[in-house]
Amino acid sequence: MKFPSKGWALVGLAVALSTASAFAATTVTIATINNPDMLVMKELTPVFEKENPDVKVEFQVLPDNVLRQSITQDVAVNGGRYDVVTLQPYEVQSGWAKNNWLSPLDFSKLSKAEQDAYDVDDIIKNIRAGLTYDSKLYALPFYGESSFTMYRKDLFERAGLTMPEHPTWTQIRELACKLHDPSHGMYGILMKGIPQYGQLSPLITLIHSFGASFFDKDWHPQFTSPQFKKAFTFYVDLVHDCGEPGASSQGVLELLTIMAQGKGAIWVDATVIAGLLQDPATSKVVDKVGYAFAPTEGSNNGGWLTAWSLGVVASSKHQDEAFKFIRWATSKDYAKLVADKYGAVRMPPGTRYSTYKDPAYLAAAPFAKLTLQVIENADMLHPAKDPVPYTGTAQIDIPEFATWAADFAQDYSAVIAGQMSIDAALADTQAKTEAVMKAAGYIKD
Amino acid sequence: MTAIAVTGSQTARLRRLAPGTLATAPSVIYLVLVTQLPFVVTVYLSLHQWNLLHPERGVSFVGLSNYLSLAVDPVFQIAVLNTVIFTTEAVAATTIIGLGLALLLHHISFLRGLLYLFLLSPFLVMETVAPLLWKTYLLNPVYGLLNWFLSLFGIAGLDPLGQAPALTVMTIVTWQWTPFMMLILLAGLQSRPEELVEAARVEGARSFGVFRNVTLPHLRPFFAVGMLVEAILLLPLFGPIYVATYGGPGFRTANLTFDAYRLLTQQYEVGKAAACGVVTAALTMAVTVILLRRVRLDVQRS
Amino acid sequence: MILSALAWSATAVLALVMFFPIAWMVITSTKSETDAIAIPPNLWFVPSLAKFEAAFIDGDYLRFFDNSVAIVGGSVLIALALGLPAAYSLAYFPGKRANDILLFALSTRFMPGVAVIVPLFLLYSKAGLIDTRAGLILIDAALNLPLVLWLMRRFFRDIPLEIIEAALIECRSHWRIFWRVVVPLSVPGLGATIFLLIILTWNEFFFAVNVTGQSAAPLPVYMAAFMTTEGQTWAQMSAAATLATLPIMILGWLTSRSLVRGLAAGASR
Repeated sequence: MKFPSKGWALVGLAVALSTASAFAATTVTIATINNPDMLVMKELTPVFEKENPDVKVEFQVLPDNVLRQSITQDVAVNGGRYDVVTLQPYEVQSGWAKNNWLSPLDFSKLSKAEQDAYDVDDIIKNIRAGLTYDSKLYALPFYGESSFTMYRKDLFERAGLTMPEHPTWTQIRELACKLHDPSHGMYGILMKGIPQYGQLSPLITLIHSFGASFFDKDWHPQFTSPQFKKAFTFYVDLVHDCGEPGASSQGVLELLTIMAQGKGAIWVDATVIAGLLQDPATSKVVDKVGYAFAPTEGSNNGGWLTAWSLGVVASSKHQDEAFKFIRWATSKDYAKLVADKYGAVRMPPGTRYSTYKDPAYLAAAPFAKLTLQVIENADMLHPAKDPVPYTGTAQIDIPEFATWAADFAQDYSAVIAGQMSIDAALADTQAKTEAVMKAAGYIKD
Repeated sequence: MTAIAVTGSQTARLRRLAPGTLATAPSVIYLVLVTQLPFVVTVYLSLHQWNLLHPERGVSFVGLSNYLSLAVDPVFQIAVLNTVIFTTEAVAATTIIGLGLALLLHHISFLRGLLYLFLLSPFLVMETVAPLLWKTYLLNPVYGLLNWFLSLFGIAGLDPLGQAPALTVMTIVTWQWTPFMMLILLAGLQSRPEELVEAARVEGARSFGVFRNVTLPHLRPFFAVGMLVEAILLLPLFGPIYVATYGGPGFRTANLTFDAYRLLTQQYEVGKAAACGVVTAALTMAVTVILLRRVRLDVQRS
Repeated sequence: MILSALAWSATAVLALVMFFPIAWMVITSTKSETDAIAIPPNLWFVPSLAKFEAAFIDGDYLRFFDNSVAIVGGSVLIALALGLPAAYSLAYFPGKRANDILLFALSTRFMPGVAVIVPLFLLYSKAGLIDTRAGLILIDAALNLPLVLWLMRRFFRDIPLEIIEAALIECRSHWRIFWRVVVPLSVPGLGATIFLLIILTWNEFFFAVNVTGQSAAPLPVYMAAFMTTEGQTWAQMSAAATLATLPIMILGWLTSRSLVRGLAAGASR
């Protein structure tokens, strides 16, 4: 049989390689998530190791909520397990930079040639701003994302409908409900409802796009404000009327499965997903998906902005090697490497302007142009219509976010499951959040 | 000759031949060294305020205020209730079904090994994988097998995880842990002295009589130890809750371990999570002591 | 005759029901990703071992498998070495302290891991035990020990005390009696206990993921790496889960004979 001999040969090779590299001078350990782009990074790492024979890179791959807990704990009590961590602007903005857990990345230490080759100004401005705190850059973006509207252009065509380039939520609702046909296994719009605060981004952006906000300028929570209630009610009603069943237990993974199986007509979510829906190995809707801006309703900030990024742990004993690795993994050369080995469509999206000028990428990724527009449009620093004291579009960039958002997520999931009324949920969240913000010292009486 | 009855004089005679504390000391010492130090530190931390995300606040003594804030937290209150309910339901269900399976396995012979493996399989899978299998392959309202199967009969859109989260979690847990009780009770059945069965049959007892008068009494201490150990193992139930419902919706399925998890990994409140743990340990101790007294698992008796 | 046929049918049906989700997981591992989750389920597909290959090679299965074997072996052996003599003593020669010892042992499992992890992590960090097999072995042995005490005491007590007494009078060595009399007579119980410990330790996730890192991570951490939140990898994840469970399945199969010694002779009645 083919497998065993090939398998054993590779096993033998792996053992040989690992013992060989056991003699390397430094080991850089990176903690990361199990997303397709990270796996590509892992597979291509031998290229880096060949160029830097003294360095060996070890990967610790974890699901993202476990990762968050694990690395926070490790770094906060100095466990020393990781040299490089994978995080998002949220972590940088909500405490990691302030607590000096990450090393500020100093490009001036490099030679001019190295600086030019890396070209840090090629990083998309908005993304770079999200990773900068107090004028210092704390992480390099590996892939960035915003959110936009994905829809089945084949179904739209068949029904004689058109998706506007800048749809409003009202229009989205209309279109979704026209295509909603549960008896034939087609759901008008796919929306999340699981009680996890890390998956609240669609709701958060919807709230902001209705012109509502989470806190006023004095940090008083706004959950019971009429505008917030209007937006929240819209979300809940849309799920119930024209969304998929059982939304209270569906998260991004489940919705991706439904969409890839061809059972969803519209889905507003991360731009990265477009690439996954174009992958014939997992998707039944390749080339059937059209794209438009994320919907708004009175405010112009419709999409969110975030980037899975690589940072160097401040207490790591291998600062230079770690910095070198993260530069390599986020460089133009790396993107070219990915294009060569896996095809242009797999180049890491959403981080560099140069990717979006690459004709091969633009040809392979029909969603590329819109993605760049959407990313440049999304303003992490001014998420709401009215002036607010917080930043952040996919999350709210304060450390307390995890606390009150987690409870909010539970209530919202209960509303979606039909087990809690909207008023009760909003009142409960308002009270809890006020308590949290008071205890943390934001609200000064 | 019964294995159960121990006369006072027998015990006394045996005691004179005892191996002394050297037999038990190493276990006790090991447990003290490995578990008590972290436990003491946890109790210490439960009296302090320490937020991992705010190192600038430092670690400060706050007395019992962590405990007080837990007591008034509705999520904690739900968690206590759910912990008791989940553990009780799971132990009861797995014991009844486990007994049935053990008896069946004990009596059949054809393909016994294979059927045993099939019956054991739910327990062999990781605690976080099993609920994922259920949630993804079976229970999803859109692409789950259960819904597809029901749709063949015209029923559609069933949402067990959203509408009956606690029941669903309990079903998964029961499926996972029934093999545990089955394993213990099988071992108990195998040690059932066959002379007693013979004697009973000679006296005219039929199968049910044998079961009631010989098997059940023999299994009683196995029930006791199995249910106690299972309860202790199920109290910190986490995987199914975390994966299937994430404690919700609306904290409906949150238990004490989930609350401690929420406090530590969402709020990064080390002190509060420690307090939650201490309360869990204390409550469990109280319940265990009461249970042991009731069941009279006195060393002398059983 | 009819009764035993019925009994067998009932067992078979229940066994299939219990096994179904696992069977589905294994079957899905041989499908493509689009087939894996297709509804109606695609029953006419060409099975492939590609996902297993990927899970084994790309996932670096052997490294984690090695760690699992070492950790399970180490912690179960320690628990048995410490616990069996104690169970022996508690079963036949319970002193005044016996109840207290049993309760204390059980109580070490009362605190959920999540509450004790930060103190434990701190202590381990200072002791240099983070990301070491020894570190996790110590914890798992502590988790296993109370189970050895409680379960083996029960199984030891099944042996009639007269036998123990008689043996002791003949030969005064507890050590000899333990090996010559007690162990052989409690094989089903011992087998069940060891098997249980192996399963529990093999699948232990929380401490494994929090205390180990690159070098000492066992299979549950390997498994977690396949649980992604972006990207459809159900078939891949199923393959990884199958590989992670396979060793225990094999162990279960090999030991099933001694674990399920039913009324072998009596079934003919």
